[in-house]
Amino acid sequence: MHDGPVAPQGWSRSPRGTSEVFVSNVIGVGPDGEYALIGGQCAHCGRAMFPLRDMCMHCQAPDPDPMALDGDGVVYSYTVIRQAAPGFSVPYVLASVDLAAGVRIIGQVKAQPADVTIGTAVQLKVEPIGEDSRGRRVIGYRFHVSEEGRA
Amino acid sequence: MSEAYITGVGMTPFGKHPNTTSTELGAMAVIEAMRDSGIDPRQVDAAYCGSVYGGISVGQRVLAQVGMTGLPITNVENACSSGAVALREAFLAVRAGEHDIVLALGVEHLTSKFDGAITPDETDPETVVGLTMSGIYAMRAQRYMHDYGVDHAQLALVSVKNKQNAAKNPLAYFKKPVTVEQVLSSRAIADPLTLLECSPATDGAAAVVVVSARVAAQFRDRRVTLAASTLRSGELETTDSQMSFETLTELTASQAYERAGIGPEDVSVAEVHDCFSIAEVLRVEGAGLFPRGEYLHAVARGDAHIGGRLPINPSGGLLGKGHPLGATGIAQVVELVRQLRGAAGKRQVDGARVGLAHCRGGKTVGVDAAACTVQILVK
Repeated sequence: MHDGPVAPQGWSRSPRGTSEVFVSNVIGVGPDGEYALIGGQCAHCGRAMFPLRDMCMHCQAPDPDPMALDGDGVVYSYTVIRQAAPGFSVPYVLASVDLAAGVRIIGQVKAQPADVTIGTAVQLKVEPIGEDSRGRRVIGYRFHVSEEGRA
Repeated sequence: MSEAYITGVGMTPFGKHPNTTSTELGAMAVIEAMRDSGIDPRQVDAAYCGSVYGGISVGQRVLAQVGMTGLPITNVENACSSGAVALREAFLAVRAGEHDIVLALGVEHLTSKFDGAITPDETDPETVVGLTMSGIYAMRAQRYMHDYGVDHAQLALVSVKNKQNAAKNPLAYFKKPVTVEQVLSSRAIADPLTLLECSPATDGAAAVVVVSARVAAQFRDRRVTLAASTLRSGELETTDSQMSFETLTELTASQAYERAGIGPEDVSVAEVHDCFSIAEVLRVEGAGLFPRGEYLHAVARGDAHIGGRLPINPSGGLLGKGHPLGATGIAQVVELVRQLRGAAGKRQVDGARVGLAHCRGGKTVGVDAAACTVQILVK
């Protein structure tokens, strides 16, 4: 058993201070203050997962190793959300992105709708995405279209 | 082990019911199903109630309204399969020999709960970044169109067909047919899906009475066999997962065919979970009712219309009849029982002998659905 969300060596799963919050509990802070999404890799079967689970999603071996996910991905599919849940400003581009690590992640793409299609190269960024009602910086994750992904 | 039979069905009109509570809607459906079954409500051994947003003890509230107390009542939440899973629990209780007469109902008063997009659980990491149920199906639609080279106008034909069927169903939310042009030009919800390709927020209730062979022997003229009722949770999403084909539906349906001793070629009518236009395509291809990538061509030919080779959603489906989440899985079976009895009026599928109902709903992070169910009914 562990007391809270586990993190890679030298990483924290808590915000850096009271002036910021994480959009959900899938974000971590590295030793140099950098943010990343926290996924996992199974020590038994070697496969990657997002989010980090207590047991491997693929082979159910216990205690997958936490792993910071970042880097390049490719849009598997996408949409432009024009009717959202309360609290979201529309429109926004949402995509299912395949990361090189072997996981598929759903997230927003910081782009104009015309710049995103199936196969577009994107980069995962964990960064400030806005403020909450109490004025705290919200750290979230989203994709940016890569330079080579632009048509 | 006893076979399970359905002897009574009931459902309310589906639509907006601002002045009727979920308790009252549920009671209407239960009273009709009990009367239709010819069984005294005091003989009911147990009840299962499906609902997603019905609140605490919704089944007990509904059944107290019709004087049914002091029996085992179980509430079931399994996303859009909630009603179907309530029915499955009734099926299992009868098959196990534990009960002879079991009521399965579903009830939802969605218009008082939602205004806008429905999402998976609000704490789910995917919901937090802006995923909506319409968004996930929109992505599936984009990928399907990409993989199979079909366009939005072809996809819109699913909505046109189902609203045309709904116009023949006095209990349906939508009363008028629509054209492809109307579907394409209705308000954009999540590209490519438009408002008329999304099932509407709906209030309604439905109920069925499931009985053992011993009880069913008295009702040979009206009984229908519930030959299989299968349930699976969703599949892990990996970079190998296909959005344009539903493995989950394939596996759930295969298990149901095996249990019922039939194959997809034996199905004469199906009610499938068309929460969005693309959803119907994925359901019927996943269940093996139409070849992969070919369903929209089949719809264009009229193969899936009433009078076609294999009518899909003659009730109007979720797109035409409406989608009161917890009631949907029961309402599908109400329609199939009426079809197999030859009592479906203007929607009647000639010679209907085997009916298939499919539900699939919900999502959790990294998993493609919460639950998928398939029921097979045989005349």
